[in-house]
Amino acid sequence: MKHLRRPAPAAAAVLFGAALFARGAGLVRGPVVARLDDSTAALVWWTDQDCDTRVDGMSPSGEPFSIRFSERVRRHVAPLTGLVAGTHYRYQAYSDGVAMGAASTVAAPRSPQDPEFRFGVIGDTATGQIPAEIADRLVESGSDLVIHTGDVVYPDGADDLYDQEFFRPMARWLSLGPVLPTLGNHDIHTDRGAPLLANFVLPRNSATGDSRFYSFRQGSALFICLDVESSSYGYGSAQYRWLVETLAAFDGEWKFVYFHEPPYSSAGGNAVIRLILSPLFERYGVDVVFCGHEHLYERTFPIRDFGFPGPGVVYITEGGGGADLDSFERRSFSAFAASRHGYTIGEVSPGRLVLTAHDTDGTVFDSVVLSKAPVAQPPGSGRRPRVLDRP
Amino acid sequence: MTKIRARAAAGLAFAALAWTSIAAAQSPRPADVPSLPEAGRVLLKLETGWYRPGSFVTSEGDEQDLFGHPDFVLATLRASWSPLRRLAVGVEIPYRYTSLPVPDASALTAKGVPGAGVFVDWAPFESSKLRSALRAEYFHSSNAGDEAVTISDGSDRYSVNASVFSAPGADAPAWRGGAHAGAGYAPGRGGGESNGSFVEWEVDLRFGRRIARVGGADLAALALGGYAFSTESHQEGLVLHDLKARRALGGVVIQMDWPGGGSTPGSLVVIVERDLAARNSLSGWRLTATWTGQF
Repeated sequence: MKHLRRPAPAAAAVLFGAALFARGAGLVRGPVVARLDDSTAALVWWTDQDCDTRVDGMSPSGEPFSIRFSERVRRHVAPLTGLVAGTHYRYQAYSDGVAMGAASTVAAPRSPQDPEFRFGVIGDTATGQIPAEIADRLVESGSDLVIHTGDVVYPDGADDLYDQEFFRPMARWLSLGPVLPTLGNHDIHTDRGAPLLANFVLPRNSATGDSRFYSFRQGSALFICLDVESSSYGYGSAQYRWLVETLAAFDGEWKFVYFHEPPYSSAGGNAVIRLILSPLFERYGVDVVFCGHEHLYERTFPIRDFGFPGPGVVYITEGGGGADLDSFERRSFSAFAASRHGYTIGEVSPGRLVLTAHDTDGTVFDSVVLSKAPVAQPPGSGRRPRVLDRP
Repeated sequence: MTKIRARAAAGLAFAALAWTSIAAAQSPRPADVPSLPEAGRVLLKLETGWYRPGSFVTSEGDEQDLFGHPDFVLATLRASWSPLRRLAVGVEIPYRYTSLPVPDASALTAKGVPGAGVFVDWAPFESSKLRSALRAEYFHSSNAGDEAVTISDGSDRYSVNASVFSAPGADAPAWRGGAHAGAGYAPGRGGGESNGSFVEWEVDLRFGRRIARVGGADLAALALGGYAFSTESHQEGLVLHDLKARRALGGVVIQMDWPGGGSTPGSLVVIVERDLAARNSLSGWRLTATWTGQF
């Protein structure tokens, strides 16, 4: 059961500090920021015993809030409802009165009328050290959220490795913003990806009721996460039909799709996905497709009707999250490719998207600007961006 | 051939079968069974195949339906010449036509010669009841290119095929059958996960009996079963995936042999086969017809 109350500002001011010295429930993981749907963020943490759930917070203007659940659980999910879109709130999580981790900040999801934001892209995270460096850069980037192109935990997505391989290295970012992953081929080695679905709290789509594939909106952009590893995506499948409906219904400016195996890659690529899904992306005006799987960074020319260049879909492979790098033989559709560890940042503004690829130290090694006239777009019209190449 | 020598040769051939089954071919090609001409003569073999998969089945068994019905047509001409008894050298030239329907557009098509191969055939033994053949082949693939539909995967292959089959002819027993196994190795193409080296192997067994004799020609019907494995999913000139692929197949073989003026008869073999239990592989029906003549 949820209780929402607003404590007096004076009382709230001492909550953060006093609770740090309390004893009781032990924190196992978190708190981490999660995303539940278009308008709801959440805080998630795990404790070593059953206990209650509470989050105290404060807006930039000093307006306090508190969210409570009396149900005693070990996996605590506290949806942050009633927040002002796009606003950063200071928060502290508690279980049975004990502070869970340090106080941090969380941003409420942006409204459709708030078109400017940044997001990060990471993929194929491994070794711990490189994800930790990337996490620091993501914090510095000012991103609202991070999408993960799959293979979160090597080699088999085992449940007992999530803390060591992902949550601890990425902790600095995860206390501020969500990571929204897609299932990679390594992630599904264990129980078809059940550990990933248990360790992340993600939007649930209406097609299957789980989070193997899902979508969410941030500002003027639609993000669609597909599952090409453990779910059918073939013509006429439930996921295919859901994808068509979701793309057709979106009336915002930017459409991003992400999944694990790239349809176009100089290190290989998945021809089946290319043949089944790429025509759909083109038909419904997807601007950028983000993938991983190949351990490198690559950006294609805009591709349409399986050809290029011209107005079409840009495919970004961001698989440089720490796994051993792959070599490649650059293909004709490739605008840029490099076997480097790093991450990608997208900067969205009206009529303009800037994508920059970064080394783990933050150095930019590739960038491109996609531009379109900032006018109202009819649903499903697929208005095409113009690639300006460099910002 | 004495009984002892025949048994030794049969043992050698089956050892070869066992060895090749360890090593690897993504596309079970039961029609591509090696056979030799008589010494000093030329054997021509024309194989035509039509493959219509309805879906791609992932490693997890999820069936990904393709839009419409892709058509993969492959015609392969093999010519071999025997300079010595039980030894032949030959060349192989395939021609491929592929058509893949896509939504809201005309079908993607590709056609052409995907490469060429040279091979050496050796018959470890032959008797009135059994025939054997062992083939070593090098196949050079043309460049794959960057198109969505390609006729070649760009990977050269070194392969070994072995077969033991019942002998045709009036003196042969009424039963028909045999085993065929093949293994191939493709060196890496110098790229990432999908451009590495890979190994393929296949094995198929068939068994049936003569059902009619018409004007000196034998007509036989056989059941066919097979299995194929590859460390990457390369099929029909496409690089589909970089993970392990496997599939079984089952089918029916109709075989007609007629006297060819020697111990190697002319033949027409029609095979209808269906992919079964595919993983990370296309799945569908294949029809092949193979004509063999000696000159």
